[in-house]
Amino acid sequence: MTPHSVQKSPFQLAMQRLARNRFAVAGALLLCAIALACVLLPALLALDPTTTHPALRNLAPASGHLFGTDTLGRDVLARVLVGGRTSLLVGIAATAVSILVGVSYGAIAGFYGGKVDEAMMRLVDFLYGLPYMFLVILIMLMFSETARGDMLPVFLALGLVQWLTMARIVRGQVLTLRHQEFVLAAELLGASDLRILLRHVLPNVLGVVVVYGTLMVPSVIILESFLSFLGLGVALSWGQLVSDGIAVVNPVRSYWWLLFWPSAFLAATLLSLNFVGDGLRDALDPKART
Amino acid sequence: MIPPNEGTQERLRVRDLCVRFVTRERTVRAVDGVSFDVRPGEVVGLVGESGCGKSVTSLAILGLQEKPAGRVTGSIRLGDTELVGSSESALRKIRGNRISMIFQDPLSSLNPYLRIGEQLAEVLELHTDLRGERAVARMLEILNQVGIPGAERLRAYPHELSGGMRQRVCIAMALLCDPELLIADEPTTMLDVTIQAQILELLRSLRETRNTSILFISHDLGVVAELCDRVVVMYAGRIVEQAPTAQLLHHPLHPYTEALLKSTPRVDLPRGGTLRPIAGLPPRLPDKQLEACAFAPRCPRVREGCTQGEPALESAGPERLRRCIAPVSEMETPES
Amino acid sequence: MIEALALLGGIAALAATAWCPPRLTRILGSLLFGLVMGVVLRFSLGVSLALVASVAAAALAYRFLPLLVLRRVVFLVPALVLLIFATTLLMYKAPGNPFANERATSPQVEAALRAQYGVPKNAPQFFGIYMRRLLVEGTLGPSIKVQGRSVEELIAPAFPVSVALGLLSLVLSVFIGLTLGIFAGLKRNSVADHLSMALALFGISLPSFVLGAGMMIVFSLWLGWLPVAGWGTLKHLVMPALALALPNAAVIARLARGGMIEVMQQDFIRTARAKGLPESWVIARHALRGTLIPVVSFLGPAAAAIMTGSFVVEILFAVPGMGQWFVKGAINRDYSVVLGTAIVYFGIIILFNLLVDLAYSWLDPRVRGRGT
Repeated sequence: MTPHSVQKSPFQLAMQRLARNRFAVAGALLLCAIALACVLLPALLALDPTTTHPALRNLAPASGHLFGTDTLGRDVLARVLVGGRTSLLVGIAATAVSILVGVSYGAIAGFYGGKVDEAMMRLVDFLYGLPYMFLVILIMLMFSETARGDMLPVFLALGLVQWLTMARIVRGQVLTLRHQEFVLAAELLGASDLRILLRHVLPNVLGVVVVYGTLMVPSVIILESFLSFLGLGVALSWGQLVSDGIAVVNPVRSYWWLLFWPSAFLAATLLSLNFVGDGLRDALDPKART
Repeated sequence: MIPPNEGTQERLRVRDLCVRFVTRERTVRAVDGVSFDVRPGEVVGLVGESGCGKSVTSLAILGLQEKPAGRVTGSIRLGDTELVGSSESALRKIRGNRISMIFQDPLSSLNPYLRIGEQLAEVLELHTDLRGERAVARMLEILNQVGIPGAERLRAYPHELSGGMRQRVCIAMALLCDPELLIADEPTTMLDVTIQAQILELLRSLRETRNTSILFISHDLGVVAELCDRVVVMYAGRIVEQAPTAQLLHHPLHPYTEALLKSTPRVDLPRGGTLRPIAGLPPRLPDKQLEACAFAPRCPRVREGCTQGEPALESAGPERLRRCIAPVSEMETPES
Repeated sequence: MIEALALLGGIAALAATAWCPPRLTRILGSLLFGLVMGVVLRFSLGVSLALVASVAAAALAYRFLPLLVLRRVVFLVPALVLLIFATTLLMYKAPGNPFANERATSPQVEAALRAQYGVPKNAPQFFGIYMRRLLVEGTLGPSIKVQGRSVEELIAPAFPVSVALGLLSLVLSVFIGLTLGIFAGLKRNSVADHLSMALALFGISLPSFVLGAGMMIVFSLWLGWLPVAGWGTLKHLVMPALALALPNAAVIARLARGGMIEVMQQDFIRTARAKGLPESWVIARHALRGTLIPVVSFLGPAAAAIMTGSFVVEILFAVPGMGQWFVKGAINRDYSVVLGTAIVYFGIIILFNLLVDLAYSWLDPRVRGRGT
């Protein structure tokens, strides 16, 4: 090896591949822009999503209210941005919950293998086939008297139905890693199961966890929007804004901006997340590219 | 270039075959100016390291090179039929009928979702008018010949058979239409040594009983020695040496052949010799005329002239060709 | 506390069915199969006929069903019972009760109502009453909110509506997904490939009710081709079925494309070409099965996703299906309605998954031998 050529780590190579994927890069940029706008803009522009103005009802987009106003005269731009905070937060937090559950479950099943694995995965297979919306609705009902704006129930309800895919994937990875020489070597040296799992196995699973975590966020956001549509949402979110927009759809007068803006933000976010997730998968595992 | 044995009695006549792979980034010449013949009932070995173009050559004969990237030029004649430039439908009538092929991995070469009988029957359906009872009778006859007795095998799925059995099924599938030429692409590489011997025996008996010509592709000179009449050695997409098997094994002319021999374990020579791996890797060649012998960078006998233009393929005695300006001399016996 | 322990015990017992020996699996599986058939048929045939049918079903199952399927039955039927139990627990944990919303109910009146409807104050007791009703009396119990009607009377007209909608959208998603996916996989990296995959990504990225609302505006309000909402004619079915189908079709398209690309690189495809088969034959006979396998294994989750979506889509398009009853029941704490719809949904899903298993083992002979 010549002194000039620099050894690249697998991670650097993956990032290089990711940077070459135009869709993934565009998705990541759009995602950052949306997230920053949702977090910063309402405060910077002093936008108010809640105050009603009876005089300013149902205004079409114009210079004063860029996205128009809703049926109670509230600024739609403010509502879309603040609603975005909820949707993104729910997406990330519920995904974190499901990663926590899924990774531990999958790691244990894959690590111990055999009948333990079979029993644990049977349960996952079964839950996988269920219409998880049942569970989500029932769990949400349990918290129906908690204060509005308390989002912990949503995190839990959505996180607890989304961990299955993660458990399956992690289990598959751990199962193969389990029998590789470096794990066996650690075992021969007398390392405890927990130590082997944490130090030798899990770090190697990190890649797929990141990929499928990214791909999980959109499905969580979709589920949250379902809940909002059914009237079970807990805070102002894109899903709720879309439902409000649908509620005023009528053949006589079009208030398109009430439906269009939240739908557009929702779709753009979900699309970007999918692009980034797909790009990450291709970058981290070029062989699995489909 | 003077082709050896100009005449018409050849079954397969390959002349100046070139296969180039054209992609947006670059063009690679995988096979360059290859010419050889296979006569009726003859077994010709095509030998070289992986990536030397031997499999590409065999696929090109069937018109199965990777499409649309693979471009074939030159001439391939089967009897009186020119295959290069033939229409796809004309080629389809030849594949599996006049030329059949068997592949390296008998498990993945058979469709896991279809019964053996179904996979055999579709060849008959395509190329013959045998149907129903008569088709079954034909399949059983061939299976019997390759050493798989019993009608119940027709209902078996590939995963229910052993590796050797699967390869026999592949051979049976290739023989259904009594092909003039059988191309065997490393058919024994994935098999156990004992099964390997059985399959070689089977191929040998085919040639004797049916006068089938066989183009036998392999990287293993030991296997080639057992089966082939003549051997064509390929390196980097071109022929570097061609000779009757015994001559090639005992008096290789090209340093590459010599190196290959030294890297192959031999049972016919006294023990105690060391195996010598060939250093380096075969090159991937660009689409242009070479300015040096392709083997020069790895050649232990490389000399000044080797890098001044590519050596031509020259006659070196009856049925012998070599592409080298500094051949291994007849005096030297291969080291052991 | 005891409830939670019982639930955990149930889950453990469920997991333990993995250790059930083949002989016991066969006996237990066919008995449970007969039992379920009996319970289901009782709603349409009456007690004595259902009993006969139940015994016959058990005998037939013992004789004919593959062990693979019986294994699933041994797992799924107890799982269904456990689900009913878990659903009961969750409902009782939720604040409020079916009688709380009535105007100023006195404790005496509430107690009387509870006794009348068979809704005691603790969950295990209700579970007991419910299971007795289901198994012994053959009824899903009275609805608490819809006076004078039993849950089966509520579900009976809604059931065919939901099934029709669900099946149509499943067929649509498979048809659209396979067509796009196979085409894209065969013409890899072509414009058509990129276009159909972009379409698929778009389908994944839109919640079904946003899609539904969009279609409603375009096809009903602007173009006036289709009715806005409601039920009754085929035209009413188009938009809800499409809204449910497209997100799934997108996933299936991606799976089919990946499967097609993978299969076309297999050695046996090269063998098929070397036999002289025309390309169309190679694809239809040799490549298609391998492509279908990942798609078929997605059908179970797809059905679940369609059900999830149907809660929302049924409400959006005012389709009188079961989803509405479930959501209404859950919000009103109408316990029997929630359980009744849940059982029917779970039943459909379980049946469907069994069919998928059978299809899977038919498609891939290598799976067939396993489990026997």
